Amino acid sequence: MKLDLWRVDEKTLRRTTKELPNSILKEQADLLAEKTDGIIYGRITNMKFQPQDREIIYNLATVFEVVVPQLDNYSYTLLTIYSKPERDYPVAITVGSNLIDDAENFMPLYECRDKEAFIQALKTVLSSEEVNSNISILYSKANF
Amino acid sequence: MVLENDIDIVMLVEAENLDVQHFISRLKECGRNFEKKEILSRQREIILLAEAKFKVAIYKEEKYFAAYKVREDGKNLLLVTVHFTSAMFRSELARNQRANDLSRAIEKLEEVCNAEALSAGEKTYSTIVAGDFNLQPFSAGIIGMHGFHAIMDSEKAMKGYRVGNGSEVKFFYNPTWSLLGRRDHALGTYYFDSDQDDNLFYWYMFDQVLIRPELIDAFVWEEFEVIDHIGEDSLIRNHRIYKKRYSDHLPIKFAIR
Repeated sequence: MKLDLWRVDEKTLRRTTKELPNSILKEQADLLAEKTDGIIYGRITNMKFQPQDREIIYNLATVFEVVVPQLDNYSYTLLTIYSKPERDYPVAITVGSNLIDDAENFMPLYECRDKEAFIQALKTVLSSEEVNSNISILYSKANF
Repeated sequence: MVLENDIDIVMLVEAENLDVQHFISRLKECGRNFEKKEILSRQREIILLAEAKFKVAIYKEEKYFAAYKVREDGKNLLLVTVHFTSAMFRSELARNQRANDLSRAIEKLEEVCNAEALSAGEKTYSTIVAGDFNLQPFSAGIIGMHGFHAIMDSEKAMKGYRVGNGSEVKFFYNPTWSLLGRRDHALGTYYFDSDQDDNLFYWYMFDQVLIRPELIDAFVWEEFEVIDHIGEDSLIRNHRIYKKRYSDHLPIKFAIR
């Protein structure tokens, strides 16, 4: 029998990470695929973030993209979440921006100190008129 | 220009004043069937027109770049059109920093694109990055390993990468070096004569094309040039770019076969 000194196991990890920003984002990405019957799905990619202002605490960018397989995997960046890899919160959210502008002039739309604030911010973005209009356009183009 | 140079794909930046539909109609009257490639129209500063017979699909539209998949003659190309911040609004240091950030974003895009291609049993894509970099071929953001690492030595580039800071850094090859200092066409694609930094070049090679090393043998050198004439009309007047009539940049032409 193996000597197991770890306290972690998959079940515990799943339960404890369920409420973290990336898991919440992943859940929304999966839901998008479900709601569009796989026509559109969400993709989450982590990237190093190097803000020019040294006082900005975030150094990890999590990019949420909307991908359309039937349009040659066309994608557009819906939002970017900035965080510190070793901490769950706070996180900052930019919408309609990009890593280059964010690195030069960091002006997040939301800064969330806890899960409740993060869910509220995410809900506002995902239910916005612009996002839903973009998704409708992509869905329609993917079906022709 | 499109007809004279037998252009298949036109990449335009800062073309907000161009009536694209009129341009396409005029080309159609001349027997060339071009299409504007866009999906969400988020990208207003970069426009790509391609002949309808070519397989060109939009892959990503961002503020500073747009990426297109081009499938032609058994080649899969990831064509990335870039438009960097103008030298009028940002220092060279700031523009280099932006180039570093942008090169990382494009490398990530390449990785995702090729992972998707492999999982779909498709050939991988070779990347071309072209457009208005607002940097010189020797600027840190273009040649440096934290930027595009686009070098002028094709043999070195053919090795694919070098090890820097303990990790592999991929090369781009920059054929634009071959256009510097040539006397048979304009000396650059942008002209500027206001001495801001005690470092005046007059002619700047801000518009460039960078290719991944696997495309070096497919690059058509005899087609590569700065266009400074359309028919009998010169795009240069009084040794400056005739921007009132045409544009403040001269176009470049390149071909991959």
